[in-house]
Amino acid sequence: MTGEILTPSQSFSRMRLLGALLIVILVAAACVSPRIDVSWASMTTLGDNQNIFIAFKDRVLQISPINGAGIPLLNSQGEERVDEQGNVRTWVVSNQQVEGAQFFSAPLLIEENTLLLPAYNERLYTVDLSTARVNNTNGEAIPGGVITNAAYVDNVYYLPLIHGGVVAMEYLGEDQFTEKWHFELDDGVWSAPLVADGVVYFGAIDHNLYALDAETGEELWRVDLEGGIGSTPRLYNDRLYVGSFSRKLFVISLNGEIVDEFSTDHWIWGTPAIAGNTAYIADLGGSVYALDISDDLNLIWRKDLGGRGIRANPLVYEDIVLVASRDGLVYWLDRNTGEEIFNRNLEVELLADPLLIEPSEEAGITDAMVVIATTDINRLLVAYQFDNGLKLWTHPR
Amino acid sequence: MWDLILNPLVTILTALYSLFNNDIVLSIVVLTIIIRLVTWPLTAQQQRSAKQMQELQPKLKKLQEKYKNDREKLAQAQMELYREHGVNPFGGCLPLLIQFPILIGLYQTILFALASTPFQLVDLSQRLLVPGLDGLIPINRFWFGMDLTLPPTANPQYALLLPLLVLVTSWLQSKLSLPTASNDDDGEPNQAQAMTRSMTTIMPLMFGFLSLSFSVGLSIYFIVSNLMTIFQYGIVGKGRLNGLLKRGNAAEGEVVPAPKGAKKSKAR
Repeated sequence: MTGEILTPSQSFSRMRLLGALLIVILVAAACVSPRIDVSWASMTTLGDNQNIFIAFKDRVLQISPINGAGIPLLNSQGEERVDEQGNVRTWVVSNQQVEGAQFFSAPLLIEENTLLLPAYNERLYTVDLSTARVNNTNGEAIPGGVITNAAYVDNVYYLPLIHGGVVAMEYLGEDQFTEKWHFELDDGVWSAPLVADGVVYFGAIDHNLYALDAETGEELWRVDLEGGIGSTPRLYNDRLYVGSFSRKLFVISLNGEIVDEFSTDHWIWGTPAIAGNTAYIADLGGSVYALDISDDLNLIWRKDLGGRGIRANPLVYEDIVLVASRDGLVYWLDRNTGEEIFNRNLEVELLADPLLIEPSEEAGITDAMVVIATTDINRLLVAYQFDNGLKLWTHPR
Repeated sequence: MWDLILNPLVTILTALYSLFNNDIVLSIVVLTIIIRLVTWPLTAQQQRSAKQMQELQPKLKKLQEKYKNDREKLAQAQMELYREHGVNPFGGCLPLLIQFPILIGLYQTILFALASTPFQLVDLSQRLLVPGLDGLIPINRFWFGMDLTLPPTANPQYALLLPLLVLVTSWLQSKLSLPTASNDDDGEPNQAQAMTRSMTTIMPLMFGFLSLSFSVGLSIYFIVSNLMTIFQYGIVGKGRLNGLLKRGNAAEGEVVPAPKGAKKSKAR
């Protein structure tokens, strides 16, 4: 076989053709959305043993706070169940049980042995707490996907919808629900509602903070906060504290009047933490602020951590303010001065709110710990001892 | 590196959205036109280079015939021909390489600006270079009853017109912009021409098909971008555009009947 001799013009034609193909390939590659994931993980603890429940993407896991291992499933004799390969079966609800479902909302206990699991695929599932089996595999239809935690009072569950407002679902028992009301919006509600004294408060991406009658869903008031709202309002001393993408923290009275505001350098997405008379907020520019709420939101200190900013809620415990940045760094700051005490680098984007687990004799937890959820499913959880930053475990190990 | 292109584009698109009374489609159209105008000299250079190469094709063909058994001499003769006519055979590549990141950036800008999930909005928060634009977020994603962030299949049925328009405009655009090749002496299409024909069929079909799964906002961008290219060829290569519209398709290198009285030249 003889090699084909290409003249410059033939080479040129072929180069152009290859160039065109390259363009097609690059365009196809670029067609992948920069970020196809929807949202970050949500966590909660349930029961006396303070087991951690985390919802992220296609799964919900139950993890031991002691060692970060999956909670084993037990058979009727109380022995650990094993799969065909002899591995211990652990507590997990995955989209193998409910096809196509994604989970970003932490489960809620609705009966002694039943969990409520809101999903992104516009369904509510109920799960047997002992077996991790989904009771209603078809799910209860709701008018939108849920991507963050729900709130509840008695048997009514207030579900924020990614597009379409808030829906209140009443649990009737035996995996049955009924829609109590649906407050429709064009835009989404991306943070858990707050329910207090018969009023549901929530911020929406449409820039408004809403107050609704919890019983009827009737709008009591709304206030425009000049930018999207991605966090749950904090209720403290009859005032609501909420940040917005307008780069401001607002203080709002319970009848919907803006009482005070404080300007930051960047969007505020996380819920402020309040301890004593100080509010702690973090912004997406990477700054942390401590504000005196007894005195016109005067700035006590400010710490600029830079990087890609802070989405998650700051966490205040004892003398520490803990913040998790998008850069993968977890900072322990002095609550009184804002000075950095130390940090831990997880080298993966951190967006979820950190989870504090306080010491508990019943759970066998002697020291307070903080659990950080990452955006990497292969290193989903990392736990540190709160006072010294000692790494306790990672999940999966 | 992408941030250097993306962040200013996202900021400009958001500013246009503010300027055009929160009409994101008009903003996408205007931004696409602005970018195509800014890159006009590059596109024009690319088109000129292609046109020059096309004009040299008969002479190149003769040289190939003449030196078909001597590759080295053929290469020398061709380089001499290029030099004589002041043509750089690779002159169209550089403008294309410069334009490409900009066009991909524009494409991604639309994806970022139409952020509709928390993950996407967190990303968007880092891309707005002017603080006063925060209040415009989220950008209204609805247009004539269509959700611009969803594909046509998840929108009202009339949204399916958009992939069709993508297909038609892509076909016209690729017909004009893909390399041309002349027939062999026996009148049969040569290999390059066959490939060109395949490309002009496959690419539009592929883009039309992909548009079924792209968001509606991106389909609008593709249509405007294609129309701009067609318009540009209309300005730079008017004859070629005319040729496209004729049955005897000169743009594809088919033999165009010589005018009456013209002498036939014999191939040597």
